[in-house]
Amino acid sequence: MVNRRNFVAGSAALAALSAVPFARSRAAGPRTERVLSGAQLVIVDRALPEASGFAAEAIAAGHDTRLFDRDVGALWMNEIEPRLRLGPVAIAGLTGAATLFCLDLLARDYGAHVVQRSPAASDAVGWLIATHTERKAPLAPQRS
Amino acid sequence: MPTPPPGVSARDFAAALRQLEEVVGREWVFSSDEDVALYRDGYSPLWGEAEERKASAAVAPSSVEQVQGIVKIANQHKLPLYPISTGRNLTYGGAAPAYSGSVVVDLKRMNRVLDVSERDKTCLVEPGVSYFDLYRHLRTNKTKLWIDTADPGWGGLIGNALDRGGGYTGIDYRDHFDAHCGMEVVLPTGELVRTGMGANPQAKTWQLFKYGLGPWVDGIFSQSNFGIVTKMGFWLMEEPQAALQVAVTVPKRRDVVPLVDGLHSLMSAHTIPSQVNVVSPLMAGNDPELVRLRGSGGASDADWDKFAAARGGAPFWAAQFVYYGPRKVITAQWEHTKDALGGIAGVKFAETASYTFPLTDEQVEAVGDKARLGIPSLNLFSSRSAAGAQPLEGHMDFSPMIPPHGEDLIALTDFTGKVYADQGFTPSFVGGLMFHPRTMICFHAVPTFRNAADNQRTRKLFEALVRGCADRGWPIYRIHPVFQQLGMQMFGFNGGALHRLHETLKDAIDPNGIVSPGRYDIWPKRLRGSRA
Repeated sequence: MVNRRNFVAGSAALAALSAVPFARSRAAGPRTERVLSGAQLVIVDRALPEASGFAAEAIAAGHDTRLFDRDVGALWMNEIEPRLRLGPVAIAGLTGAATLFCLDLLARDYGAHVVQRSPAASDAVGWLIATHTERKAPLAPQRS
Repeated sequence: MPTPPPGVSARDFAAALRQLEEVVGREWVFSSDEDVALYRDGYSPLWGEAEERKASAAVAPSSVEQVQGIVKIANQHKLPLYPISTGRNLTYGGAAPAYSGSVVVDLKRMNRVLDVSERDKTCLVEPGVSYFDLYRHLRTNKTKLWIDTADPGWGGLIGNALDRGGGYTGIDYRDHFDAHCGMEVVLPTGELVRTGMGANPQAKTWQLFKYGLGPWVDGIFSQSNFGIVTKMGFWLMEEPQAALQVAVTVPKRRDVVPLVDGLHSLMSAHTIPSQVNVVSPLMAGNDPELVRLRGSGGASDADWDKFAAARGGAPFWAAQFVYYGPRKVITAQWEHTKDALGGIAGVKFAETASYTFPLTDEQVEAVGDKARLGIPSLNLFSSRSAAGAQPLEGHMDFSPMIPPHGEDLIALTDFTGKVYADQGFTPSFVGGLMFHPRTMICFHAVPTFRNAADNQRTRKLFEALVRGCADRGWPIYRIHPVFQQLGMQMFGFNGGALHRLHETLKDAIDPNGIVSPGRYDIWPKRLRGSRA
C-alpha cells in the first residue's frame, strides 16, 4: 500500500539513487540480495556511505523501503514494532552496528532476532531480522 | 530442564512451572535456555562468571489476576520472583534478577494505556507501557499532552519511575517517581492494594492527589521488593505554545562556580523550567594531555585554563536547557537569564533551537534533542555508530549525587579522574545533570566486558568510585544490582539502622521472601545467609 510516508521515503531513495555511480551500486549487489531475501520491510540509515546503493537495490527489487537518519526510534515505533506484533515477519536493513544492537534487543521480545549479518566496509551492517516461530517471547504473536 | 532456584528441588520447580502454565498459558512460561537468555544482563560486570545473576525461568502475565496467581504459586514453593516492566535499563542491570535463580515476572504483556485525561493532564498505565507506547497513543489521538521520556525511550514508565529515573522536561514531570500519582500493587501475599485516593473506589482524584488518607506508602515500592506494581498514574505536561533551547558557555574552569549558583537560583525561581546539563566539552575524549590532567587528580585552575587556551580558547563549561510556554514568556525568561548570568566574564549566550507546537511528523523527525521535547528516541545509540564502536561491550552507570555547587563538580572530576587513571582506565566524561531541583547527578560510564579479567578490573574501579565518593559526601542515587549491597553500606548511619528498617518491613510484608530477594540488599529472613 502506498501512503504518504512510503512516498516520501521512496522519493528520497530514488533521489539518492540518481547520484550513485552504477559500479558502486552493483558492487553492493551480492551482499544486498542475500540480506534482502524474504524481507517484507527494508530500512536504511541514509547517513551511511553505502545507503544509497542499498536502498536503490531494495526499491528496484520491489521491497517496501524506508529511510531514516541515524535515530531509528520513530521507525521502530511506527513501522517495525507494529509489524512484529501482528505476526511472523522478516525485516532487512542497512544500519550502524549500534542501531542493529538496539533493534535486535527490541525484536527479541517478539520472538525475532538477527538471522543474517553482513558487515560492510564502514560501520554499516546489512542484516535480516526474522521471527523464529518456535521461540517463545513475551510479546510474540499468539500462536493459534 | 532449567536449573531450579537455590533451595527449591527440581521436582518442586517442575511442579511450579506447570502451575504457572495453568495460570498464564503454556506460551507465556519460558524455561528453555534460549528463551531465558532474553533476561540475561548483556552488560553484566560478572559476564560468564559463576556469580553472574541469571534467571531460572520467566513468566509473562497479562492481567492483575494472573500476577496474583503467580504470587500464590511462589508462596507455595518459596519461589523467588523478579518483576520487571520492560527491563531495558542496561546500565543498571537490564532484566537480570538481583538473586540468581529467580523467576522473572515479565510484565510487558500488561501494556494497556488505561486512561488519559487531557483535561486533568494525567494518565494511568500498566507496567508494560513503554515511553514509545504512550507517546504513540498521545500522538495518534492528537492529545495535546507531553510525556517526559527517559533516554533512550525504550524503557517503561513504571519501571523507570520505580527505579527513580529521570527525564528532561518540566520540574513537575522529569523526576519520574515524583511525577506519579497513585498506584496499584499486588503485595507478596497476593493481596491487591491501591494507594492514595485510589483506596476510595469512588474517588475522582486518584491521579490528581497523591496522599489519600493516612500514611503515604508509595515510596516503599521504589528501589525495593515489597510488591509488584500493576498500575500507576502519572502527571503529564500540557503541550506548550513554544520552546526555546539555549546554551550558556563560560571560558574558565572556575567559572563553573558562579554559573551553577546562578542556574540553581534561576531554577528555584522557576525561570528555567527544564533539566539543566552542565558539561565541559573540553573534558570529553582521550586527548593525552586531557587524560594526564584528569588522572593527576589535582591539576590547578591555571593548568586547566592553559589546556583550554591551547585548544583554541573553547569554552570550558556549557550549560544547556529549554524554556517552555507562551513565546512572550519565554522571551522574558531568556532575557532575565542573560541578566542574571551576565556578570561572569566571557559568558556567551546562544539560542540553539526554537519550536512552535504542534510539530508535524517531519518536524518531529528533524528535532535534534528529542528527549527535551518529550519525544522518545534511540538517538543515544546513533552516536555509537562511529567506526570502532563496540556495542556488544557495554557499561554501567556510576551516578553520584552532589550539591549544586561548582566547587563540588570540580572536586568530583578531579577525584574520579584519578581513580580511573589509578585503575588503568581512561577517565569517564563527566557532566552535572540537574534532574532534581536541588542536586546534580554526575553520571560516569564504567565499561564492562565479555571477559572475566577485564571485568575484575572494572569491579575494582566501580567499588573504588562508590566508596571514595561516599567518603567525600557524594553517595550514589541508584546502583546496578551487583553493587547494591555495597551501595547500601554507604547509607550506614547508626550501624545500618535504615537497612534494618528495610528488612523489618520486608519480614512483615513478604513473610516467605518471594519478591525480588536481595534487591537493594533487602533480604528476607530465610535468605539473609545469601548476603555475601
